[in-house]
Amino acid sequence: MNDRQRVRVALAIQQQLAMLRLRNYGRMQDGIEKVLTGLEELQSIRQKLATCGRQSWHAAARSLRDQAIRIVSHLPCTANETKWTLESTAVEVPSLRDLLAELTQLEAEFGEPGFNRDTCELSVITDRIELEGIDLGDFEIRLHVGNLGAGQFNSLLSVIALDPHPAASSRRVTHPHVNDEQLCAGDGRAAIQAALHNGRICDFFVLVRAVLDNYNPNSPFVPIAEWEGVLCSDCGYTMSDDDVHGCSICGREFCEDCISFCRRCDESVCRRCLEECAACEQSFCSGCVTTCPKCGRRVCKTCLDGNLCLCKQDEKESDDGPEDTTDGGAGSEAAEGQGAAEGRETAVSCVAAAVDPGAAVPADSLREAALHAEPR
Amino acid sequence: MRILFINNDGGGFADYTDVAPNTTVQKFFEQRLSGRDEADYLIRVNRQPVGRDYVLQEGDRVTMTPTKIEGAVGL
Repeated sequence: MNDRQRVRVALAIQQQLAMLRLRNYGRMQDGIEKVLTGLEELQSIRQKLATCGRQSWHAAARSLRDQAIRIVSHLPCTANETKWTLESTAVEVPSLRDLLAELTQLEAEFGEPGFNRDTCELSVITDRIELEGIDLGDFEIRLHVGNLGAGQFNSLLSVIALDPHPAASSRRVTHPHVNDEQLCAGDGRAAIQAALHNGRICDFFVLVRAVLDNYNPNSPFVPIAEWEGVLCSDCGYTMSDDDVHGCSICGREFCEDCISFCRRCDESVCRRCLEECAACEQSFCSGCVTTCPKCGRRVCKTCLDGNLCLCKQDEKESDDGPEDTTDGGAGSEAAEGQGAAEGRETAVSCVAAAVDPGAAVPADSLREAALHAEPR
Repeated sequence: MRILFINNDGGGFADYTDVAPNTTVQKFFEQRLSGRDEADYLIRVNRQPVGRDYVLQEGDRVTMTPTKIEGAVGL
C-alpha cells in the first residue's frame, strides 16, 4: 500500500467514523429521552397525589404510589445506561495523522494490508493458525470500512479461511469461532468494538487475531475434538476413521448405528441401499435380490430358489383350495345337522358350537341362528 | 507524569493516567495488569515494540493487547 492509497483509506475511515459520531448523537438523545420520560411520569404522579390528598381518595393514592415505586426503581438503571452511552460517545474522530499512523503500525504487525476500493474493505492476513494440533490454515481478516458508520458489529467484519480446513460436520465452520465467515468474538467483543469506535484500526485487527489464535472449549461452533473425522451420511455424527462403516453399494460412510447388512451375503450395506424381500420380508443387498420371473415381485434369491415367492404360495393355496372347501363343508354339514345354514355370519357361533359337541348352546340360540340363516 | 494508556483487555478503554517518574514498562504492566503474564500481551509504546526496561516518558502512548482471547458462539 503506497502513501496515496494509505491516505485514501485513512480518509474513508475518518469519514465513516464521523458518520458514527452523528449516529451517536441520536443515541445520546434517545438515552436522555428515556430519563426525561421517567421524570415526567413522576411529575404527573406527584400532581395526582396532591389531588388524592385533597379529596381523600386513598385507593387511587395507593395505585399512584405503586406506579411511582416502579418508575423510581427503573430510573437508576435508565440513568446508568444513558451515562454509559454519553461516556462512550465522548471520543473525538481521530485525526488523519493518527489514522495514517494506525495503518503504518498495521503494516508493521501483519505485513502489507490490502484495500479493495470497490467494496471499501481493508484486510490483513494472519499466519497459519494451529489449535490443539489442528492446522486451520491462514485467515484473511476483512474490515468493511464502508459499514463503519452504521456501527453494526456483525456487518463490519469477515474472517475468510484462505486455506480452509473446515470442521468435518460443517464446511462453513472454518475455525471453532468462525461460522459462515462471521467471527463470534466472545470476550473480545467489547474491546474490538471500542477499538473500532476510537479509530484504533491496528488494535482492531490485533484483537481479532487474538480471538483466532485461541480456542475456547466452552463455546465453539464445533469442538476441536470433533474437528476431524468422518461424518455419518445418515445421522451426521462425526466419527473417527476406525469407526467408519462403508456401504458396499453406494460407497458412502456411516456410523455403527446407521449401517446395516445384507441378510444373505452379510455385506455392509446402508439402509437406503437395502431391499426388502417380498416373501420373507428380510433386507438384502441388490445383488441378493432378484425379480421373480413369474410374478415380477422382488424377492431374495434364497426365497426364489426355495420356491417361497408369494406367487408360489398363492399357487399352492389354490391347489390346496378344494381340500379346504371339503373341510369347510364338513363343518357346514355338521352345522346343518344342528339347523344352521353354511356361510351365514350369524350362525358362526352356532357352527362352532356344533363342531364342538361339548359346547353347550341354548336351543333358542340355535333356532334363532337357523331363522337368520334362511335366505332373505 | 501523564501517559495515554490503552488497555485492550476486557472493555478496551483508553484514558490518560499518571505514572511515577522512572516507571518501566514492566513495572507499569505489573501495576495495571497484576497477576497476568506479560508473555500473553502485545505491548507497544508509541506504536513500537519496546523492551521491558523501557522507561516511560511524558505523553507516551502505551497499548496492552492480549494475544489470546476466548471467542464464543453467542455474540
